[in-house]
Amino acid sequence: MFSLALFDVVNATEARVNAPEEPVIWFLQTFVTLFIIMNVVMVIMAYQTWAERKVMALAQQRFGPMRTGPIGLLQPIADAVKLLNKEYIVPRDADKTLFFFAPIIAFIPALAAFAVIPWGDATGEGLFGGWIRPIIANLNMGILYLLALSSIGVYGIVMSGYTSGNKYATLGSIRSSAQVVSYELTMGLGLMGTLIMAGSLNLNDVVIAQQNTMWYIIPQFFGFIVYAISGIAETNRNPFDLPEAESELVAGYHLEYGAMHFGMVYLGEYINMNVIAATVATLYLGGWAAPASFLEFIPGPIWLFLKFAFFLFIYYWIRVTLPRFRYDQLMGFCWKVLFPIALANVAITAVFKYLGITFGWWG
Amino acid sequence: MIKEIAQGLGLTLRHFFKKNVTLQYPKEMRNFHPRFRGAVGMVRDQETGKERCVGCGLCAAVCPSNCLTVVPGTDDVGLRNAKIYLYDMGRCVFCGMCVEVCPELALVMTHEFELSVYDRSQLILDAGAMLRLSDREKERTGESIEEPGFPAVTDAPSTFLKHNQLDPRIQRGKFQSHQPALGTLPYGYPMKYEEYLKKIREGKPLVQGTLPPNFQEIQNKYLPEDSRVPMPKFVENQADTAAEVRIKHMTVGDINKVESHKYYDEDGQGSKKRVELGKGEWADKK
Amino acid sequence: MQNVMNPVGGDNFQEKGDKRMRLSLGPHHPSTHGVLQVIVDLEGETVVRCDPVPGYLHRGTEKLAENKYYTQIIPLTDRLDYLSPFNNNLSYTMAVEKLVGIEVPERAQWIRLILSELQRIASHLIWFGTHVMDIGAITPFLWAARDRETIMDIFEMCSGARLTLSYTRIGGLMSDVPPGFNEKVHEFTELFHKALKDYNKVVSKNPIFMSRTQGVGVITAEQAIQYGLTGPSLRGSGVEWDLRKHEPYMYYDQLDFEIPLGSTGDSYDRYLVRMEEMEQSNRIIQQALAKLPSKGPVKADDPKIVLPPKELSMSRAEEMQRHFYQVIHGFPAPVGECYFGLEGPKGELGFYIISDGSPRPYRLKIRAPSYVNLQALPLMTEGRMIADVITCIGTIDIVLGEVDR
Repeated sequence: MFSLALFDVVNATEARVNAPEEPVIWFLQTFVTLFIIMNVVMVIMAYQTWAERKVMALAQQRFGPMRTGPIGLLQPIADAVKLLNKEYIVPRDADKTLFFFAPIIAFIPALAAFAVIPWGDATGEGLFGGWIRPIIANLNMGILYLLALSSIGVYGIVMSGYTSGNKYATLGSIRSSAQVVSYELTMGLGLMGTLIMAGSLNLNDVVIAQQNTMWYIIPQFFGFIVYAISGIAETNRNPFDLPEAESELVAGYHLEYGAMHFGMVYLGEYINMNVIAATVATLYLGGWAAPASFLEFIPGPIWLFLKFAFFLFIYYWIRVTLPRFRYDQLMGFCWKVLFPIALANVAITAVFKYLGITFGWWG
Repeated sequence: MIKEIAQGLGLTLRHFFKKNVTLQYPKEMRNFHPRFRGAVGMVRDQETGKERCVGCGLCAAVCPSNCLTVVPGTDDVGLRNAKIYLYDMGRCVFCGMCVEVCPELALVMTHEFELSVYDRSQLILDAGAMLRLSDREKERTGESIEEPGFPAVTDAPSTFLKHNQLDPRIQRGKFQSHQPALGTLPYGYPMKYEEYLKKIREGKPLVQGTLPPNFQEIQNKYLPEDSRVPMPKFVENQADTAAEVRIKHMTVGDINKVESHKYYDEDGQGSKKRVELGKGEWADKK
Repeated sequence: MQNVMNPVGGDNFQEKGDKRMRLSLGPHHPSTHGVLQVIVDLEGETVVRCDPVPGYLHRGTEKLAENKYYTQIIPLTDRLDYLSPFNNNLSYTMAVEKLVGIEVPERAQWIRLILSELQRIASHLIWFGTHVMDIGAITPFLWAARDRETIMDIFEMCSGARLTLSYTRIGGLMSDVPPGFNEKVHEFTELFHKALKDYNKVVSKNPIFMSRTQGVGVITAEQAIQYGLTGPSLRGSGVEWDLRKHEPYMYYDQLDFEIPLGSTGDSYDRYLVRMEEMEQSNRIIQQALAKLPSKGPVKADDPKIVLPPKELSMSRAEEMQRHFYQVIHGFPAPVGECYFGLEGPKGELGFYIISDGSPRPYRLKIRAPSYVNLQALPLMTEGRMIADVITCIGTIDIVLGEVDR
């Protein structure tokens, strides 16, 4: 299945990208773009942990990290150094190979998902004659690629829990598989309305379509809500953090991990958050496009960053406020509340699109 | 449903803009209330500069966790004191009962609370270390502790007091036990401490006439060889052996054992070269 | 891979082919409130058997007490329910006072009453924070800790310690409260009234919290009485029983307050009962502050039991002798038995003393409410999901120092 899908993706890439006249230079250019974007994403991710701790601390009237650097700015580096220096421990009852690879499987797809997020107008040439492009791979079916990768990420979580040889971790991974599979459905359905409106699976096209009309958060408000909530559940964050429920399963699926393997599970989770936030920004908040024409002097990447930073803040904000669902309530919420809303949203949007009805004030 | 969640979110949002209530602890320190019960310190007598303790052992009797060991004795000038005073801070529960019962106001609950050390033997303090604890209080507040604070007296003061601020009935010098044991006996009236010291330095006998053997024995120590009053042998021995026997059963031996642990023996010859770990100020430096 | 479900082997499953998994929650687990071990048998996520195993924090307090003078036992009681040490001190002290028949001065009683209610609020605040944190909301815990800090400051101001107070003495208090006490307590009551509104806003009406607690851990009134529950756990089931009202001690009969009662006996009712109790305690403190005499002794005038004040013992030889005698020999209590229980934050906290006429108790039995309330855990959890076990541990408000003693 996946290999076929990926084969299609490769085909689509070749079809979409401006036909490379000199393949070697094209490859080098992609590599440079890749290098820069991945590094930016990693840095954002590292400071996201810092930002989350700071936001939580503020809500709780305390300081958060303060000892490393000014206002704790070096904390992510200190964390990384600490994790790298720790001993890698494999539990006696673990399946050693899978135990080793599980965090990597969780981590890599999350990072790879950033390949299709446009940081600027992807149809343009980019900076320095194409050496730095605003997108790594301008796929025709970018959204499917995203959904596929987020499905692969679940395998990492399930494997890490199941191979640890720990009952808490097993329970966590069982919860996780059920939860992520259910919420993936609502997540996909939530997106559907946007795609119907934009008429394309390409993320850049969606942004341009929004620029022509308006941010899809307004016409697709329910789709946005469904997608955002499913996204929180998909990344196992509060109030849907059952797989790692601290007070019940101690740490859930990554209970037995230490050292950089724990770091990778952790990073995978945060990058997943980033992916969800970036897709929300792209699909509903206008992506790299400026909200108004007089603000266009600010470059696209900064707009994208601001938008998804805002969404991340909402993530943290929800985390400090809300308690956690119980397992049955979580599934009930997905299937009894979100799923009907998403279906209705898709149906209504499709009907309106088919009939060619526009809502007047948004064209 | 949505309304209540929104209310909660709004409340957390409002807290983003409130003042932080925590402190950056090692950099900032909170203000302790004067009554704070930290490690037990000893009060210095202003006249002698030594501890006020007379070794009565009430503190050891009342201590619920048996962390105090007191062996009474006399010091080199003949004042009653604790020959051995050991305070095992590792056992202490900081209840303040020793301070409450001390009949000499010789103990005080200091504000010392950072009590971690690298070696448990460093938690066993003697009288000198306990004096230093209360001296640290002096450095911190800029004023000397002359009389203890909470909970030594009934209407426990809210801060450490100078002795002239206290009830005149419990000010120093109004009661006998602070006076030199030798000077008080024959005259029935306390001798001034300076005179007492002067007499001792000059080597003159403080008291004329016959003394009880134990006082005579103490006085002999400070007299020149020729003018000593001959003592029956057994008195001296009895006192010494009794003390030795008790010392053997004390924790002192254990301290030495810990100090000569091989971790500290760098040259392997058993020389007690102590590695100073952290703040070694309370280390037993006998 | 076949090891995964049964890593330890053998005993993990009742029988071969049984689909149950035996999970040991604790003693090292973030939400067992100390070192409680709960062995649960799971079928999927459903609990089929729940077996609390206390005893990891057993320190033999009752036996230790047999070798100490009555006064020396006070610091031991601090360590029972370490979230409400003053109530422990108070209950023990009042039991001894009942045994020896000593009258405590009025001012001391009022101060005890105020501090006892403050301690109830402090204990409930910690319960609130941890209970809500177990359910998943992290912020209210920090807010509760912030407000509890003010109470701790008041205790530090009075007794010098924040947690292990040892503030009571047989026949009164260790010493009078310092100047500024009334103002600080009054300030706290006003501040707390506002804070309580915040808690209610962020937690009490939260739909997720309500769905997590409503209908979870139901104890009916009959069951609650059968199990011997006391305190908010009993009143949450709708049984009106509060020692402050029904067997008033100190001056509770002079104060105007209400006993909140639940109706269904689920976790949410117990939650509401405790939240309302905090409000009522706040009311009690305000009334008691108004009635607190501004001057007066805080120790009883009983030369056999209470140590002489330093002013006397240091200026009169006979008082000094008495001081020495009392410290070294303690005071003999009359031969007999005596029980005193007060309404602690967790329930009825009682001390049962058997005296053989010596200065040490012949036997000291502690009726610890947490221990009794813990019995109801299997009743509440069996047949429910594993997340409800955590809710139920939170809702009975146990402190392991008291359970294991």
